Amino acid sequence: METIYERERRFIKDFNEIGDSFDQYAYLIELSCLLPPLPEELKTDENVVSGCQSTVWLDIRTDGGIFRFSSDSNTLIIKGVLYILQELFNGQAVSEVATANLSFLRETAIMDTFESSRQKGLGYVIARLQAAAGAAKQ
Amino acid sequence: MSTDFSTVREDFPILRMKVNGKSLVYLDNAATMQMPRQVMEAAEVQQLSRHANVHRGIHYLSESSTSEMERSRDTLRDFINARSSAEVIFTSGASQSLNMLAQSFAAIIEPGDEILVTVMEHHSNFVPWQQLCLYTGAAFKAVPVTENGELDMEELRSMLTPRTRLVSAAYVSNLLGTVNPVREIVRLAHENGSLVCLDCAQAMRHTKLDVQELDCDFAAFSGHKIGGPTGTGVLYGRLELLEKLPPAYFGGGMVERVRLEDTTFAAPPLKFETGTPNITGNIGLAAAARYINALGIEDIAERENALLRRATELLSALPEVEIVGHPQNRSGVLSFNVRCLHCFDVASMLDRLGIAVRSGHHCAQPLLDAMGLDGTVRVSPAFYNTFEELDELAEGLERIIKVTKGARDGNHL
Repeated sequence: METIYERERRFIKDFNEIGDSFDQYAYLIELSCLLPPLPEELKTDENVVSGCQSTVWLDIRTDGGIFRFSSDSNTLIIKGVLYILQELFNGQAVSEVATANLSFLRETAIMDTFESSRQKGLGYVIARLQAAAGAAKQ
Repeated sequence: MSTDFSTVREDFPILRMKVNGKSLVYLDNAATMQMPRQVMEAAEVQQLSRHANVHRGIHYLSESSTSEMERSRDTLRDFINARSSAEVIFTSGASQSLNMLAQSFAAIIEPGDEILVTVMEHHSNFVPWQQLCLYTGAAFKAVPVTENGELDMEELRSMLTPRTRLVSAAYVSNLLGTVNPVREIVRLAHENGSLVCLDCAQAMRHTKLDVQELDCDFAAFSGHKIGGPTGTGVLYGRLELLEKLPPAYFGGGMVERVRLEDTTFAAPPLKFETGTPNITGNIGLAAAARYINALGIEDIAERENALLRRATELLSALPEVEIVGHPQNRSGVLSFNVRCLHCFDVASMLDRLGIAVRSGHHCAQPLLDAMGLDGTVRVSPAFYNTFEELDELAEGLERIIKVTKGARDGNHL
């Protein structure tokens, strides 16, 4: 299985090969279509990531030391980013997820349009995923 | 229309910028209008040749700064046709103007008094009054809007009571562009014995504010929405009221005599201007008013209304676009949503095309709640925008509608 790092490098390369920044966002929107809908009963207050300008729900499972999460958002671009995170983390060992040093938000232009509160919001999403993985590791 | 708007863009160097490799199309003028060179030059002259504190020192630079800032106050007095320059208080913007007024009102409001605002207020003309009522025991009331996004004037009439001390309403809604019948509001309030404050932030660039003709008691506006520097604005108040109202802030510059046991205050406007003011900003604001006057507010209004009508036609023709609010008289802004797309998605993708619009709640959550919405995309052309730029906006939206079709069909917004 590809490591988180290998998956991320592949994604960054694919994304940056799309030269036009509008088409990059269109690609994120396409990815959002691949995100399976989160069942309504999982859209609970506890699953909402606070601090996000867009509403983001995360349902995290760490059964058997394997990390899996489902997610949803009310904005398609954020859903696209959530899809990428699911692709990177799902099926990986919790220890790998907890210690991964993600760089795709820095190495692509995804964040360029996001105002600082939304940039922080995505940071909270990643922090919450990794904190859950870290807790499961212990 | 006598003003030639084809060359006006030369006054705004920033409009030549490229954003994301595309020519900038700046359609977020309701948030902040770009500054013309003339404003920057006025600020530069101030910084280079007069920079010193005002109303303080007996030396050349201080005197020179003071007289220039007071000349700026006179310019703004003429801009809004106030009776006296003492009625023009420099603030950091409409938000501070309204907050300051609400704080001053705290001293004269009693439990059981009422403050009447409208549901379509910007938070700056909503929250200060709401909070004032919370801590004084006064009642806070908000006039609802109709389905079209207009003020429900019948409700307004019925909500006025003998205890209504103040009616504070927007001249133009920053979310829907609805132009409110402010003359009627002032008349009804005064007949009721209530004072009236108008939040003119969204009206100023394309509406001649004549406080004497309108007969309002207070008015607030921001400099950066008429091409002035950010952090500038005005609170207008009728002089006899400013003389009676206590100041909201205390400190240097606003006192007459300070003793251990009490303090007497300077006359308006200085009574309301404690601390060192934004001298350069205030001078820049006057330069912006002169710039607007030179183009002619009536000509600007005609140009901006034509741009807004074109934007409305173009966007109405796009099947997936829903225009928000249908007031009979709209000015300055147009709000819309794309079906099953979050306003943030739309604004982000437009930004990728170099098109700057606003998305979100626009600090008007009570109005969005009343309309059952989370947010909108807002387009607000200024006189320097072109009809071709609006075509680019429409083409951009068409592209967005096309590339998001699949995703929108599966999105349950």
